[in-house]
Amino acid sequence: MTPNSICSTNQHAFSRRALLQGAVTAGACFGGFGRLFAAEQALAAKQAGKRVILVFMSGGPSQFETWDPKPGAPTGGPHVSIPTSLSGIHFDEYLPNLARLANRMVTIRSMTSSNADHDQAGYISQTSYNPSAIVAPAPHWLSICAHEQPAANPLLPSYVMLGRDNFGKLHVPGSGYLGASQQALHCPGNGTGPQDMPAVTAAELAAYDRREKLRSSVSQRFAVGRDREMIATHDGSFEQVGRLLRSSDLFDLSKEPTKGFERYGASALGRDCLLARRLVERGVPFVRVQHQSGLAWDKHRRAFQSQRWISAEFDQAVGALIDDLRDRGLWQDTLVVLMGEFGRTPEIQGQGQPGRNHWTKCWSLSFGGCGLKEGLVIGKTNANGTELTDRPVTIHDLFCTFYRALGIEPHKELTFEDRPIPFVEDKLGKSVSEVF
Amino acid sequence: MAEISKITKVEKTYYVDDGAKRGPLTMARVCFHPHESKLVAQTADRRLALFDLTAEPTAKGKNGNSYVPGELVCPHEIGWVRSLDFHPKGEWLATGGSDRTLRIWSWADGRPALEPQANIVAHAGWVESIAYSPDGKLLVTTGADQQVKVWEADNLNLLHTLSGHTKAVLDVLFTHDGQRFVTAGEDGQVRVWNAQSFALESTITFGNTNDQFGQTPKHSGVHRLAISADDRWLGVAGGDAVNVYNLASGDVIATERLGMEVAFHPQQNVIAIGESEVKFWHFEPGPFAKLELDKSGKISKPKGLPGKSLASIKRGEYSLGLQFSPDGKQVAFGKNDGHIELSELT
Repeated sequence: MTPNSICSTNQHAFSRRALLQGAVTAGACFGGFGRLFAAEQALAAKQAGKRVILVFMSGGPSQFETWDPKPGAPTGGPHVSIPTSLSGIHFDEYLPNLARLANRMVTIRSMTSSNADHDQAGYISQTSYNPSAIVAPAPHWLSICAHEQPAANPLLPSYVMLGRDNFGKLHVPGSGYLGASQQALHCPGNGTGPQDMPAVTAAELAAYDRREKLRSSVSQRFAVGRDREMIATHDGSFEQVGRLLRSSDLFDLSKEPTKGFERYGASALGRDCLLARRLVERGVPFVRVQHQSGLAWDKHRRAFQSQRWISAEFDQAVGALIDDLRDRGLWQDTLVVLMGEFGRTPEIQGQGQPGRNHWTKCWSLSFGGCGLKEGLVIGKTNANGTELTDRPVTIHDLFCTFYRALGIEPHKELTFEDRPIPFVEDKLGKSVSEVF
Repeated sequence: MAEISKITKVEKTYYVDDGAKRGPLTMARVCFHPHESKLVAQTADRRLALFDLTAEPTAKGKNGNSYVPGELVCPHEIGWVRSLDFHPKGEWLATGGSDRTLRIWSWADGRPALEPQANIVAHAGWVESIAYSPDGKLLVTTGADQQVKVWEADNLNLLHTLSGHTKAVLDVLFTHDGQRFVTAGEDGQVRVWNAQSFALESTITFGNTNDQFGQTPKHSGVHRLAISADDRWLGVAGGDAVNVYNLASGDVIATERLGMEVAFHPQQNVIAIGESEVKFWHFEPGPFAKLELDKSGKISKPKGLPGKSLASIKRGEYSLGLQFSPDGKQVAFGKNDGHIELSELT
């Protein structure tokens, strides 16, 4: 848009583009305004007080180079392992902070699934649904959480997504049949807030309010004889832009002390984990953090050297996040989930300089906090990591566990187009009882 | 040896398989024994692959092709062997592993001993490269811990720890006169050290660094080094470029868009570079390449490798390991499918 020469610079502080994009963003987040802030849901949120930070490791992290190393086995690769805070349990050498925090987490070494396609497995591992198993797209599980337990403070978004994955559309599911009202508020990553949200001064807010008053009066005339709910949703979006503007320091990492940046590391993930902590600390209940874009953990080639870099930045950022949550008294009510969509093959082949391919038979992930038992390692694989030998855990089991940890009934149904749709596909799975 | 005019592939190939189900033993470095027709290779395993270059093919692969079977030697217990070098006399073989250890294996009857003669923790990270000095008195190791360490070769007394690199140090090489050694790695810096005082003489910035981001990470900084027989030229191979520098001045004098591997012929003015495709050039013995000045009198950007193209050999994507034999009559290529191939230079 070309600036209008008759407008002052100050007036362009809220450009139409920024306003509209903000409206779209907020609309996506708060579209179902009336429903979202229904009294019972607000009460549930207040009572629950639970939070989730999901750090998603797109591409399929190798269990061998994270939580289930097999040094010395033919399939073990070059990485060696280090002891953790749990006796007899070792993690990859490039995860020293997660090794230190193993006694605070639940580590599952026996995840098992069946879909080795990134797009579909990304969808399944974040919705519990197979892409073809539902008449409407399933929501991201954090959208369901936001629906069930929205932010207690109506000024705040319930679900924020930090960072983007530039992979397929299925890989990062949206709000599905829940609609725009439960869509995440998207932030581009690297510790930044929503795009085009300007820094706000009192004068600019006053200017926004004047414009909003004008728009609102036009909207009221437009509403005559039209669908009231639609109009209310539309108006609500603009109202939320105003609210978000008033909370703009929510995303302002410049307010964080320098020491925080150092501890989280000089990576985009470090800044996003710091922002995630800032968000949950201020009342945003559900945050998804994307670790690098473009299936970064999908190490088919040149795997083992580059794994050192990605593991090191992951470990530093996530380790600092967990430390902070614990230090600030947030750990007991915050579920931290570290996972990708599947694991990687025991065979080292890849395409060229060695790497590992996709593998669903047995893989690993980690989660903790939210009052779960600490220091558990669940499931086992054999010496070469080729077979599960104990306690298989499915994606459905995992979601039952997560929902239960948050006080959400995993098999609760919502009605969409007169069909009952449970949160977990076909009401499958049982929660991993050991963690409760 | 007359000027090389032809490079001919040797028909037999070399391969090792211990039957474990874990994918091909992708090659990463190859190293000729200084005096015997033996070759050892660093591969995707905790052991080295040893090949008798004079042996005949006696085994058949999955595709029905016959190959000369190798043997897995010099076992580390965990991790992978990441580096190796023969003592100039050929009596010892040094290996470094991702297990942090440096091990010395005595060599007799055409093979290394079953147990190491020495075994020490050398670095606080993967031992990425090893080089014996030409007189065999020193051994230099580099590590993922960003350190360069100088050892007395015969007893592994640590003489010096040299700092300055800021990422994993992936290669080290002595000049043929033994006066200097050069180190380089993921930080894109090439450091030239005095081999008597162990002082840093100069730093050359190769660059080409990255954070190995994403699904198809590029190599960061320098992967391999090579020094010409007359010690005048330094070849530096990174992810997708090879630069040739005047070692004395540090000036870059040529560059080529092929990456990861570089090797100089031990006697002749021949350089070989490349990963998936290895190209060979004759270069001019005098200036290597003419330095050209721009309008302001500054040295122009370096151009591609000068001289006469000798051959181009394709060996498959992402293949590593490239070395001329000490007598200059052969060149060995590692391959990503676990094979070693030889070519003869005539």
